[in-house]
Amino acid sequence: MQELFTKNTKVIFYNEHPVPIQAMLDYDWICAKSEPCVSAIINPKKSGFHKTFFGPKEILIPVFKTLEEAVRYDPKADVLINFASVRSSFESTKVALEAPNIRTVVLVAEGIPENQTRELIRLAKENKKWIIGPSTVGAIKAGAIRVGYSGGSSENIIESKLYQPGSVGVVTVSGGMSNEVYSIVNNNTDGVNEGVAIGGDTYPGSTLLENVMRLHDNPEIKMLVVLGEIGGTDEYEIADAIKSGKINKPVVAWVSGTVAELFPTEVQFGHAGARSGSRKVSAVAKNKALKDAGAYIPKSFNQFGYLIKKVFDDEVRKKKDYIPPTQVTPQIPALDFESAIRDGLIRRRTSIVSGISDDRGDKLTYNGVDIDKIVDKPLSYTINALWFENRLDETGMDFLELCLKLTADHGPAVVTAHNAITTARAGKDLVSSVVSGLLTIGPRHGGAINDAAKWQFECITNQIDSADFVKEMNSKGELIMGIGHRIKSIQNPDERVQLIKKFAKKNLKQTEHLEFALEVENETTKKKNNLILNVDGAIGAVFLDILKSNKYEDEEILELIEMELFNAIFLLGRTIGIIGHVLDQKRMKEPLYRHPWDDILYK
Amino acid sequence: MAQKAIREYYGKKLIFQYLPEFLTSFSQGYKGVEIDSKQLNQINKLPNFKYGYVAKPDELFGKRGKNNLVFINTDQKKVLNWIKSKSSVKTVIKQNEKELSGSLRRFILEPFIPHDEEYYLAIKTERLVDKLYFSTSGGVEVEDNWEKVTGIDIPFSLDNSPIHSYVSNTIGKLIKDKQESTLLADFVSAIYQVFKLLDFSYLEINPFVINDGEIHLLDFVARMDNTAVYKNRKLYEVIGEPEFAPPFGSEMPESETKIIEMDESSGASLKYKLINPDGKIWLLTSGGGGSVIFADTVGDLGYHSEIANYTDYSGNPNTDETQEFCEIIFSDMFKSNRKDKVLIVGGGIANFTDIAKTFTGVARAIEKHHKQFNQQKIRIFVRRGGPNYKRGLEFMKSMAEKYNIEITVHGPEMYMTEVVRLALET
Repeated sequence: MQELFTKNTKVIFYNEHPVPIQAMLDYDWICAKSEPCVSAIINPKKSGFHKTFFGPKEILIPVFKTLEEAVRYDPKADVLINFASVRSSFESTKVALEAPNIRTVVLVAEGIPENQTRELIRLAKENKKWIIGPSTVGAIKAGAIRVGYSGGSSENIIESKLYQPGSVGVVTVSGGMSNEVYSIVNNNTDGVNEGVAIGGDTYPGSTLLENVMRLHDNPEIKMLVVLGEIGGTDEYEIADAIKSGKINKPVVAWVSGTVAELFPTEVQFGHAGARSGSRKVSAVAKNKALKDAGAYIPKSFNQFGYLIKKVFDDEVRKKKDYIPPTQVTPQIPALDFESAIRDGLIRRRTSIVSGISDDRGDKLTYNGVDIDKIVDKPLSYTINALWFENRLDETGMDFLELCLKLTADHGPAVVTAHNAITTARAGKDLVSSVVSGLLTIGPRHGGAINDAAKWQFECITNQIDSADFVKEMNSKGELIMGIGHRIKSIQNPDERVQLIKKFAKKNLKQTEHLEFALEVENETTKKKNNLILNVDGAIGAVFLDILKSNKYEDEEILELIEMELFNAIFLLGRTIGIIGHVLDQKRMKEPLYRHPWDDILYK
Repeated sequence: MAQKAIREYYGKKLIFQYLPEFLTSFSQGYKGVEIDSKQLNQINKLPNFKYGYVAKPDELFGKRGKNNLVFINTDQKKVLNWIKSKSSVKTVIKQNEKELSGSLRRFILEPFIPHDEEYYLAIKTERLVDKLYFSTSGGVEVEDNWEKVTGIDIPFSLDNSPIHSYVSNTIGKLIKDKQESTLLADFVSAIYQVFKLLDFSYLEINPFVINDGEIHLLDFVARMDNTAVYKNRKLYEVIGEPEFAPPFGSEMPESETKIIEMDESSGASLKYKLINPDGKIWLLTSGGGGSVIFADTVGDLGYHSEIANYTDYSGNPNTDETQEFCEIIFSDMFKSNRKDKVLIVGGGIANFTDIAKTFTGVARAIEKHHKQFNQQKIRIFVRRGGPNYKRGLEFMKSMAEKYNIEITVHGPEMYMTEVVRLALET
């Protein structure tokens, strides 16, 4: 029989899984192959190229949407490594079994319905193809190719000398145990020639015996090691083949699952096929049948390694025609940047520092607080965690909440809303429309909180008298930020400012900034009755009082003013309203706005 | 993730639902009633059946006739009293040469059907064929009369199996009466098609009978492939989400129930079975294949009675899951008064599982309960290989040392199950 895997085997990999693909290419590199074994990748969702490493060099492997295209690209590829999900494994394998070039499908998914697997087996028989799996970890042909994760980490490949062919063929049911057995074989013989895990399903695509015979027919293999499992009767087929002489090389075997005898009821172990039932499928009975047929069976798994050594020495090494395998030096693949960092072998300067949230762990955290602890609190709690290094108290958070509500919207006529509306009506997208509204926030609209806070803070710190301050500003001809309203006046006060004042009175012991701002208002309204403390001025003053009551140092407050944190409150609040206006316009499908001529004075 | 037993009530409901699609003359509708003995006092009236009632437990075991667990009567009161009496005591049954004991909770109540001949039908799947077993001498003695059972191999094919010709040929030879043999062959073919449609993996109807020219199914045992549930959800709608109950006689401690629930809701595989609460060796092993071998080895080295539990965690459980899983097992371990308890944290050389990651969950669980480890002087033996195993081992070691817990750690340089011998002998 033509071997399934050789040094020249080319494979097509189904599903763009970077880790196993890299693992296979690393193995090629360890074995000093001149080119990688994966010639194409199938990704039903995209085509193009996949970036990966071959040794130290980055290479591109073509990605196709269908097997048909991949096969056309490399007609020599005859193995499909199928890493499809359980739900798409059946269809993708079926297509491969019907593709003329593909001889072998390695099926990794666990949990494929049994009838689907049986249909695949029927198709494989009909088309004279091989299936390895389902639920397999793959196979490894020492020095030639590894299929999927078989053989484990590069470190393990090297420790278990899986890069150079020995004289032992290994067939296991379990994928997890395959690596362990390769290590045992390496420690006790001249090494693994080929190893395959057939997978723990009730109906494996190719059976223990089929794989044992496949390896048996390879003249390089002098001895076979088999690890079976409770459940099913496949091990009896091996016993029969030994008895009939079909197998004439020594077989060392162990069937696991003797512990099942201790369970009162039928037991289902981790592998689907590993289910106790009648005596016939028990580990004890199968071990006995193999032993009676002439296989070497240890008393327990603990003596498996010892027995493998003994049989190898007696039946292989001592034979006159025995030639020990040539020792090969593995080529160590370059260290992965991530693992080198992880293991502390190299260091690198970071480009970004972040202090407020962390998404690396199991749970996202905002300033050290788990997201699930934040979700049942009011929104201001989240703002507090993400904006403030020194967290505000409950009053501070309540004030933020109040400000967001007060500043959320102020009707369609204000410039934020107006700009957003005209942009939305020009057919622009949501983000553009919202941003065009936000861009109007500045010294004349909404952006005055920060500047108001600045003078309020400076006057209090330097103990400046309100009347002097107003006089000085007047003489400089400067406007006082946070003072003045287009429409509202001392007789017709702004309801929002009243609410802010009420909040401060109710919740704060010290309100020096607010009091000062009101003194200033007292001065300015003497001149004109609409020069009142407006929303911007009121928010700035009360927020300063809140920072003070939260024991903020003066330098910290100055820093917050520098960073424009006071304006951020308006910015966030108003975004809610702007989004509302944009959605409103889109909902009504309002057409392009054109300003009427009669509303323009032409010079 | 495998073949699982399904209750007779649900199995029959499915069969009755889908059989007419392949056998138009079958239009009975299922008349059986499911009775939960815990809700017996809420039942005031049973449906009226022409010839009376048959009551029997529906607890995933067969041979109820042989175990004296079938009750036939026309009196509703007597039937309910029988169920009450059977559910209030422990029941011991014999199965596969083993005695199983447990409480009967679920019962099934069906119309009694008078009959003469009892027929037998079983279907099971094999790799390449579906095996049908048919006999005209069904009933409780069928296994003693196995020579009267005819086997038919149907080559498996997902879409078209030549079922009818196979069946009618065989049955035609067995039964000379043309009408009867046609009736039976049609029935068997239809059952086979339902079997395949619903991804049954085993089914036994023993017996089924003919009354008034109609076929009636009396006792029914079945297993289903639960990996097929996702694609058959629509078909299973008549019974809701299929329930795969554990086998009778495996009354579980709370810890096992909890882990089954975890396993069902997780993408990883989490298995736990408490074997001997007073055992010395507590296993915390991973890998579907490796875990079995660790447990085997304790027994194979001659210490069957010392195996406290069987455990398997694999398929990349996340840190939180692993920690919770460990803590549930520890809760059982801490209950025992033994003075020489040993915890084996074992596994083979993993292919792709990140050992450093999985051991974080294990170490957190140990850390959380380090007081009990200290008080009960529980020793820990670790053996594991695979990606990042060195960091994982180092992590476990430093954690145990921090709390003065006795620990021995080994990587792949030590033979896998040698850790079991070490734990047993020191």
